[in-house]
Amino acid sequence: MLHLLFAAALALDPSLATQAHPMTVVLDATNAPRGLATTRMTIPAKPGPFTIDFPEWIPGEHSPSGPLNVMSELRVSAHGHPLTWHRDQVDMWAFHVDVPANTSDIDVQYTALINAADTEATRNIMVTNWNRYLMYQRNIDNTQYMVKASLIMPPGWDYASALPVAAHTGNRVDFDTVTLETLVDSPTDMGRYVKHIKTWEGDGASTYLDLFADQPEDLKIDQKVIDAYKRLTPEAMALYGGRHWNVYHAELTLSDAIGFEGIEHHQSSDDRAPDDFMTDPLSQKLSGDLIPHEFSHSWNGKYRRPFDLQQPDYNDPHPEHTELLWQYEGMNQYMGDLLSFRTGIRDPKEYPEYLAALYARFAYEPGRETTPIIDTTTGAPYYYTDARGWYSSLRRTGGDFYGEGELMWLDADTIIREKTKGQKSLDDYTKVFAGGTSGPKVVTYTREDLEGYLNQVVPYDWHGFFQKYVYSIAPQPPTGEIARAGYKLVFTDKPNVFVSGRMRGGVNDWYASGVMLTNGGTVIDVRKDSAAWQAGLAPTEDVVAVNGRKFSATVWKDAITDAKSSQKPITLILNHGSWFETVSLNYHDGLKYPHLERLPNTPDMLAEIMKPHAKP
Amino acid sequence: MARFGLRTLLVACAFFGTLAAAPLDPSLATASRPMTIVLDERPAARGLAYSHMTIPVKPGPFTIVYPEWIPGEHGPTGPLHDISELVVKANGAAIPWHRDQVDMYAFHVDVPPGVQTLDVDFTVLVNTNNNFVDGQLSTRNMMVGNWNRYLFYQRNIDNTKYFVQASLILPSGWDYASALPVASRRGQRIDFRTVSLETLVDSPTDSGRFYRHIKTWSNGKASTYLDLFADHPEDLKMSPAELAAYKRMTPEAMALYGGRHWNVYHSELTLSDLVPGQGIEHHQSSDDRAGDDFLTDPNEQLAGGDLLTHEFSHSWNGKYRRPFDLQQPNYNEPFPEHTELLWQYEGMNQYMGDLIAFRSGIKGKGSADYREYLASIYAEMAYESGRTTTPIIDLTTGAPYYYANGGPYHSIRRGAGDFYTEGELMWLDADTIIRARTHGKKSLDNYCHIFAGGVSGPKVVTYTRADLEHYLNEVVPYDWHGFFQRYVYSISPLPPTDELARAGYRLVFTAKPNKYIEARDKVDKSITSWYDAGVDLSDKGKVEDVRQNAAAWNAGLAPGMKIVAVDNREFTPDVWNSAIAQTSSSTRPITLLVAHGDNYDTLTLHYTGGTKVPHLVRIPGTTDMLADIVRPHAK
Repeated sequence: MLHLLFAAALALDPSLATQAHPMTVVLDATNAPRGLATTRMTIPAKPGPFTIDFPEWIPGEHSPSGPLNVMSELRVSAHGHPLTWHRDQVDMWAFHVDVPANTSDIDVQYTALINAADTEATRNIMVTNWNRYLMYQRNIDNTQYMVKASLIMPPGWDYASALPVAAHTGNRVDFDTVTLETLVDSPTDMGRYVKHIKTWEGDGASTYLDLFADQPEDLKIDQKVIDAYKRLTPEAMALYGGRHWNVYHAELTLSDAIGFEGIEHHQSSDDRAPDDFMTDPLSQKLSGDLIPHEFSHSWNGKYRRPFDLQQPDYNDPHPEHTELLWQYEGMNQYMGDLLSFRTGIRDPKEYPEYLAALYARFAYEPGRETTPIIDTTTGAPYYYTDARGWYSSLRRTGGDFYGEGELMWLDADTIIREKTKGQKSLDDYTKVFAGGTSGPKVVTYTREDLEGYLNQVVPYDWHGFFQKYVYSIAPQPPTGEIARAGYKLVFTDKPNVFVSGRMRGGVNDWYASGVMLTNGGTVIDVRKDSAAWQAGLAPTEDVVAVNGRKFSATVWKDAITDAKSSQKPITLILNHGSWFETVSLNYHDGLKYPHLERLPNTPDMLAEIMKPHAKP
Repeated sequence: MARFGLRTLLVACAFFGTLAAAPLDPSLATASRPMTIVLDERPAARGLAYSHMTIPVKPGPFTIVYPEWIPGEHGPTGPLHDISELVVKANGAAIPWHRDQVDMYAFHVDVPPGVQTLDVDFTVLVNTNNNFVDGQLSTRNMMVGNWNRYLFYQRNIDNTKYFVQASLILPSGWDYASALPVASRRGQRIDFRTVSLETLVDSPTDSGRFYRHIKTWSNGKASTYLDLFADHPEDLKMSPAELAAYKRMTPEAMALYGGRHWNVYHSELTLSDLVPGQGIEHHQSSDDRAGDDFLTDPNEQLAGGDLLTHEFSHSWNGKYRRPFDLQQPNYNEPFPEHTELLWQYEGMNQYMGDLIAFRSGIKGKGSADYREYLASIYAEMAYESGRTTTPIIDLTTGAPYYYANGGPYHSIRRGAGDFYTEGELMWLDADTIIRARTHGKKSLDNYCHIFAGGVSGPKVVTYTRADLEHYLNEVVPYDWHGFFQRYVYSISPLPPTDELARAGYRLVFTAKPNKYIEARDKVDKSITSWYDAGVDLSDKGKVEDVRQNAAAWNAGLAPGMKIVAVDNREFTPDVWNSAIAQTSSSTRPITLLVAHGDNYDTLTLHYTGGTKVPHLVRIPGTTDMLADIVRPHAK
């Protein structure tokens, strides 16, 4: 529906930055190790009141997250004379200037405080997203607004980018003039310890894995891991039946200080992981879909894009509408995982364990009884940035339309396979949806389009399917896929690495007593109405002792196991601020972890789905 | 007063993203048939509360909103993440709700035929973090209660005409404080009288297990209270001298403004290290949050003793008198606050809050302490490099962003705190201009009387910049327009400075500690080495900020680094301070071992000149204006 704040979209203004007379931006990152950069722009302008914007809605972040606090020491001048700028009274991202007569360009520079919003620069690495280092003419079409960008790196550093290069002299790189859309779509990471790996080449196109590490030894990667990553491009092209990129750079930072993130782009991805991501097998097992997920977005998200998410520029009055993220991110979660298993980045035999953990997480999330998936996608601009803190299982999170999306699209996959007796699968849908070969371009879709494509693959009540799992409160997540794939869900006391792997030595007792604890005993979350909830445990409290023994993960698990054969409640000493309390935990069902077991005499669809599909 | 006058409309239209403001809808919640809300706080100790509402509606498409723009927070900070388990029912049957595609705070429902009231229930996740409050609002022993967090209401109404009957259910053994009038209390349930939505949201209702209510002033018709809620009972024990100082707060504020615009006033103060420090102003109360030992540690009172006085002063300056474009008919789109005039609302109030704190004896002991305080805030603003590129007007206009987002290199970016601190310097400058031009016959106190004098109950009277300049000209003719143009609306390379000499003082830097900076460093566990080496550190050696082009900057120190050793000695505050002090007699550079992530770097600090700390010293033969400004004024 039309929001009352915004009238029918206003007409766009003609772009003053043309191929012949582009905007220019020189990003001087010489001081990146201390968290500082300077950006200097010439912005084509015309005399009179003129407005420049700092990008607010950042593609792939799905929210008004443009980090204003990165900007400082803003200076605007014309012909060498300073101009007064003033911020809009309501739109914090808009800056007004009065451009003098006979002026065709204004000079704009500011100091970027790189780490203001999150850590993007360390002593050895800088994650570089151009939207943080530029301003541009308000209310234009970003495919018509031309920019010539240059980069000055710290001495000895190297970079990666999908941007075409005009010249590289010393530490300065001058890129070709491109559209603003392409520039903002082309992260340009750089660093001191760098490794470029060509992962695929063919048909005049190529893909790269570009690694930037805080510690040089983290670039020493097992050849088997590299070989699996080299299968990513063939598997993705087999899945989608083509490509919509000419070159692709997966730019991966390896830094504990920068942390974990992945942002998709047309011909590259901005991937961020901890130091040992490429060298620790557990990291690959748990999070090996990072790069496949972002790569898959080149088809699903960048090439095909929801009609109301796609906008002409990055600022008001052009907010993203995020309702259809259940396709954009939901299906992509499935595709990213699928590619990670098909390539061998993760072991296909582990997918049933992975799926058991994923299913249980959503089946045991109390917030699902009141909040439908559609609220987490429509509300994504809020959920992504702000849904943090206590009791996330009651609130739900922006992560839910990813994880539950995977269950839903796997459900769709198994429906197609069953109805066509294995002749067709979701791989046919992906080809209808995003097949063919082209350079980067955007083709939009509606919900109706998606249902039409699915009906082309196999007729079914797809509208009712999405109505049930996305648009209504669904007391259970999509469940039919488990039996259809030849499995059933069971809970046993045997650990599931996908349940506990991320806990860093903490306790995930969610399906048993109903609590998650850090390795120090701090309560992370409590499942509503579980035994732990009844005992009064709440987030941030510390479990100090269990049955009189000082807390450790082992002491906790032993106590849960021992209570199976006892009527006595478990006694917990809790620390809450400066207060201590003793409470009783009445739980006697032992440790419980989800697993999938094969149903006898049924075909194993999961093995078929996750086997390699690309021709060798 | 015209709440929605022509001027507001013109400004709204000037923004290119908005339509001309749509007319307000008639309020369906009347005094005889109000919206109701029962807030069940019984699980507060575990960070939960349950809100049960009945909201008057009419059949068809209907929109309810969760408050977004929170008065006193000056930003779109309404904590959406507090909402969970939202259930909307008509005639006992759940009906679907859906969030607006663009306005995250708006929820649409289809009201069935014949339905006049919806039941709306949700679970409040009290302790979620957001950009404005990062931390807890409830602990085992207390809960900060802001009604805007616990309610939805009809979209696009006038909040003075929308009526609400609120009730509160407390955990057993807890008590509460509020400026709301009470209809009845039975056990742990309090039913408040029906009030306007504006009054309810304006009336925080704190509660807790360890509490103390102190009547600080009364004249028979009106009274003021200090309501304390502690995590530990012993933190409620104030010294008699301190209590006496807080009892002077009301007479001093009334002397300053020449009247009052409240009938009752509750300063609701939480004392908890778990609840982040904060102060939010309201018409007849304030929501004040401080650490465990705020009332029992003299350093806390010296460093932050203007907390309650600042918020109390806002009852006049901010709640009664309010910028014309900040005042809005409700808390949601399309009614964002315009914050340009915060240089009056917060800037002058910073001065008034300090003034009342010193005049009543809460903060420091007279002009000797005020001059130390003034030296510290003047130096802070004068040595902030961001001032050479970013004017105060950007900080006030940009307040909705600045309040919520900070980060490393504060001194280069500047922040919302600057229009408070630099505002105090500017309004002290104005005070000394008035005193000098009238030969001591008048002062800024006269301006306060014109601005907010008289006696009334709570009401809102708006002002423009032209109004303020006019009031000042009534006190003494001067180029006040040019004055604000220079210090607020332009880049001003130095903060207002003339007030120092006019008051009879000059700024010096010496090695002697500044009493105020010392107290603040103790409270914040920090080291201020800003005016010598040019760096602020935590007491563990973490770099908090570096002054551009200072010795520390040239050495390469940056936020995110940690000084591990100084001339090969393990970092401690004493080791650092001694190393800086010895540079007064040595030109040998200081060697710093610095941790940067997992790497260690050795940096060389070329600094000479010894320890430098700001102070004000008297200019001989001049009148000491500061002594007159901060002496007790109430009879």
